[in-house]
Amino acid sequence: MLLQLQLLRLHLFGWVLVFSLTPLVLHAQSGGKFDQADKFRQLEELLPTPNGFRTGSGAPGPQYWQQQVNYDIDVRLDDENQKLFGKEVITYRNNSRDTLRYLWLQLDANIRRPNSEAQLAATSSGIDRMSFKQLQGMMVRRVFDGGIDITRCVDASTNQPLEYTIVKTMMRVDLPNPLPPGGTFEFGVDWNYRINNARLIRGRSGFEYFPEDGNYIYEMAQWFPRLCAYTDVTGWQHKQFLGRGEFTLEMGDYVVRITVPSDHVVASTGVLMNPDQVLTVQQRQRLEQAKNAKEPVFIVTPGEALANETSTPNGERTWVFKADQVRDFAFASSRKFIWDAVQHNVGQKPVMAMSFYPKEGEPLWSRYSTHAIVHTLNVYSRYTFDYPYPVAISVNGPVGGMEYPMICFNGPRPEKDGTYSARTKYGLISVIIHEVGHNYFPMIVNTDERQWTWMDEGLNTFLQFLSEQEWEEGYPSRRGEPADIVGFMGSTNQVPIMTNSESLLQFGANAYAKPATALNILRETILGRELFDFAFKEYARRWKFKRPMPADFFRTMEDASGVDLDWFWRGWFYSTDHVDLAIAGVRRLNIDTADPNVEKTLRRTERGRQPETLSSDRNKPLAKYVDAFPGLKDFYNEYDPLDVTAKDREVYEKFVESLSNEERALLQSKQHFYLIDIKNVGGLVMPIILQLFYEDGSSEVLTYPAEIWNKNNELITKLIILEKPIASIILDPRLETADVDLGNNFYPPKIEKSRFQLFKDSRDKPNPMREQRAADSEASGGEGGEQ
Amino acid sequence: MISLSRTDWLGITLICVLSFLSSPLAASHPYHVSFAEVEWNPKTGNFEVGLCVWPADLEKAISKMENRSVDLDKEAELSAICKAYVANRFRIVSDKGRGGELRWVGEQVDLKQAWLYFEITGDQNPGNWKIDNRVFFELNSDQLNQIQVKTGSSRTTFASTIETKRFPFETKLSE
Repeated sequence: MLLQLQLLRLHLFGWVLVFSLTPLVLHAQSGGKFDQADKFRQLEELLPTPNGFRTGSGAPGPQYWQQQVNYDIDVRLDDENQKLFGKEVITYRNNSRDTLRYLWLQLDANIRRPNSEAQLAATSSGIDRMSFKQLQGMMVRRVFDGGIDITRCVDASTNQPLEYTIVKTMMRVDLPNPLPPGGTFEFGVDWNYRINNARLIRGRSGFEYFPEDGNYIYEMAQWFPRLCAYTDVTGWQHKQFLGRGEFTLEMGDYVVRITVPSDHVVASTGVLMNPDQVLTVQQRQRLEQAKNAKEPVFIVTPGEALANETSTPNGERTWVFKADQVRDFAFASSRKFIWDAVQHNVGQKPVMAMSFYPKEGEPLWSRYSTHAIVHTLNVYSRYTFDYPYPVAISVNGPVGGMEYPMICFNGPRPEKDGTYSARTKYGLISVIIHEVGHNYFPMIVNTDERQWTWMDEGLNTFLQFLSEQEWEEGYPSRRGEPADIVGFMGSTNQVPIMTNSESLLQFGANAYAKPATALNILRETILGRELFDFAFKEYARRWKFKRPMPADFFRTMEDASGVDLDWFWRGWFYSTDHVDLAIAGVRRLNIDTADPNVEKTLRRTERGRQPETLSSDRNKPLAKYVDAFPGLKDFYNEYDPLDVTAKDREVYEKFVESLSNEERALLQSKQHFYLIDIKNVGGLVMPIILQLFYEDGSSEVLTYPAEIWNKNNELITKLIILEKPIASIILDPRLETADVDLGNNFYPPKIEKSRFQLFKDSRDKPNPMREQRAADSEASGGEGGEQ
Repeated sequence: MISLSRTDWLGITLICVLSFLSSPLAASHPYHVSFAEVEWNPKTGNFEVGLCVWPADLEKAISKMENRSVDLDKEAELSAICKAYVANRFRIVSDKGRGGELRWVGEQVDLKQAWLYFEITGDQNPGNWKIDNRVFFELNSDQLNQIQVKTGSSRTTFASTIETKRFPFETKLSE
């Protein structure tokens, strides 16, 4: 319907301002030019140009390739001297279009040379006090040489030595002949190194010694010379291993023969190929039972593990494992291990979920570890793809939390008396979910961790949050909820998520919490669960066993959801802006009915609301001259322009007659018009979510998409038309957007109280939790741990 | 300077520390952060602090300080023990030697996070101060303590690490 705008005027019913009345200047201007940052600028200029390897849709292109590297390894663990001896044959297939004249291998153990770059590049704290343990670790690191000794490097076909050059944690092997596209080269490497005490020289790998029983647990990772990745994006990815940026690896098939003392139990990436030679009949029977069990069953019972602690090995035994399509290989070995297992079907595929832990992990580990693995496989598979490997293992040892294909190392243990706090319990469940979850990112969706930590840690932490919330109601997840990240988001010393791993300030928040929270917001608030889940699953499906880069993720999420998210990636991943939207003003307007009875009454009411000035008030009692001479008063002394005159009525009647029926109905409607000004204080554009509370006590939530900011990203004004008047408004009522300052999210404004003040105000109020704890403590005599 | 009398602490000189303490070799997955909101109250002259920490870190640090296993949920004297820990590690002092006394207000400890509330005496007159937050430096070489200071209408964030841990700031009245 065409409104006769010249007639249907809106007029301000009353200015109702929050902070200050912000004039409706719609464009920040400088020298007359529009100078706002373009928050919706397309990302094309930042993303690499699509090509035959990676398409503009974010999928692998028709010419996508990746190298194939297979390993055949013999490794021996020397439990007497804590040394590892290895011998491998590597088969390298060049699937690239390039001819290679040399290969680069990673020698991660060289980070434990006393003069390694990691040691030399680490900066000093200037701290003037330290604990014995820190000092001990420091002194050990000065003298302990855990670097790798290469004792042989030969062409496997000729057995002739190969030229090689070691560059800190990298090794270049010069090929006897250039390796053409499609060609294969086989070569052998022998090596050995001293294993670090992971309690003193911490890392992702090493041994733990138990002085009470004289035994060791070995968690072995980054233990063999393995190929650097050669990719269409970076060529050789041989950025030095400095400790933080993790691993960039090639997919391949492995056969690994692990020789350990005869009484050791080995947990490893892959499927055990020779159970008849290394397991007892009873253990094999129990593994069969585990295939049909509903709950984990012991393969090595706690009693048997305890007996093993005092056994003497009868020579050595070799455990043979085979793993296909993995990007790495890790194992753990000890005579202390308790072992439990249960088979679980993911899709149609059986997976043996298993845990290995010493008695020091009990009773926590047998209760939760394997269950946590099964739960992780269920949830992650639902959001990505069915877990493709035959086993999934969690091992307790000295490493706090680290992931490898099919196997991960997790640290939490109960107290020595077997009690544990709720924090230890949830800490264990969370770390197992996280590390098992890494099977999906980056073990299978094989990202470049050395360059982009967020691509595995961020995505994995996001799925960890979803999994934790499905473990039990109200699970105390540390990361994921937008409100939990506001402290970081509002801070000043930040770099964007899209920053190389080694240069990340605030590594944890930037690589883990911020991307995880961003994805949660993208899912809940921007795209909705249905669209997000479809797109995320599509990304996982496209890049399963392949190597995506950041652009592939950004593009796929847009391609599959059908939503332009460039503003979202730009704001959350390429900038350090934060979310702080503010209600800057609320104005109520009414339709000018043109009816003099209505309008003049309204204006009179308004006039009555105007404050009387001080002088006017004080002058009131003074005698007035015209009162003494009433003859001086004329028409104008009595005239009130807001009186309704016959002329007014006549004009109104003519006006009404000129309207059509529809226009007349509109004029008489009782709609309420509001102009709401929202200011973008933090810089990050986000949807505007307003909860309106009406004067009649009801409420409703209105949501406007982030695109509301696309012409002006600093201040917008939204006109909303309502059936009833508003009493109050809350911006982002359910804390969806990580808004760092809630103090400006209210109309009428609320006085912002600091958390400190709120706590101080409330501390004398009863605390039901404390009272319950006191009652429980009294009932149990104040003793004992949580069971 | 932090002064601890515990027997498991050694005073050693800077020379011994060299570059080894902040080894990047720590297991990658746990990361260590805390967040403090500090507001100067010109009426009292005091600094009002809400310090948010990961409760597992707090439990570990206090256990270490007390040389026994401490469960925060079962600790009878939780306030006293938290205060003893924080008082040694969170300082605000003026360059003229004013203020600096810590007064405990309370704590809220749940599974996910622990908020510790305390005041540090200051001065009603605007001036120059230094803030120093070393919580958990003794546990984690990668500890990062974020401090947001609000004074008057301005907010500033500092990031305290083992490498950079003392920050000057100015108290001023709102305009």
